[in-house]
Amino acid sequence: MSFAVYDPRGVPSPSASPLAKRPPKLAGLRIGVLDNGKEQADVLLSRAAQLLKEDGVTAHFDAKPSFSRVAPSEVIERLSNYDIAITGLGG
Amino acid sequence: MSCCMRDAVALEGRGIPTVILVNDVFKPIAEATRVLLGLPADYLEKNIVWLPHPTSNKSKDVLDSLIDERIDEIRAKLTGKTVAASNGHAPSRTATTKLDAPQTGGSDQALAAARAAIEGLVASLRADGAHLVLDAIDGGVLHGTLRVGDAVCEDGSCIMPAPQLARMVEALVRPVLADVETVEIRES
Repeated sequence: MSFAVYDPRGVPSPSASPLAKRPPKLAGLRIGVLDNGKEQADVLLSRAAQLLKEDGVTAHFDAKPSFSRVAPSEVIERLSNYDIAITGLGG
Repeated sequence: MSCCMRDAVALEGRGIPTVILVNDVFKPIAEATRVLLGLPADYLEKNIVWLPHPTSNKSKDVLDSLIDERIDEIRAKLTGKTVAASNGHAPSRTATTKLDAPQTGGSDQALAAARAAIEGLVASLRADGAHLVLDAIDGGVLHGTLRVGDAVCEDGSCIMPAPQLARMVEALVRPVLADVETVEIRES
């Protein structure tokens, strides 16, 4: 006779975080650009915004005070007013 | 890196599709964060655009070129389309060592397996000026030491706090080591 043995400890399984639905195209959208403050993150993000502008995307720049902390709630709220977002860091 | 992903998840939760630019040295931290936040298995592939590390010491022309080479990938990931990674290869797996089955047995062997499992995470931390060493497994507890050397930030605040780091190590180690029940990391 065989039987299955289950490990009761399991592994961390936080509730799944929802992902936003993707738009079919970029033209006419507004993008929130979140600079995390690491060195040259602004250069990288600005270049991305510049190229996306050619796709008809309007960029709105924002930043957070520290790259080692999550963005303050007011920054997330501001970025939530846009259609899409890009963020990043360097190192 | 972890905070960037948390910001992106916060925005996704508000219905804002978000792409993250990340230096590739942080892939292990990204994967560990993905597990901790309960993100889908393909989250990194679909939402992160990798850049070759480091970028802080590159000229503006070089940085512009890095983005120019990846703009199609950025566009695709903002609109949910599939595209090959900009280096011409399929997105690589994270540098996490996976064994065929969870290991038990001798503590030396288990400790070696744990160290192998977090090898990429250690490299990521080293990039920020921190050093993580796993010291021992004792009674189901994996002990480690975090030492902050020349942190890239003045006050060391850029280094992930030890309790949070312990959770990341746990997420990486527990699937390969059945004996590890918890991880404790002390700062030295």
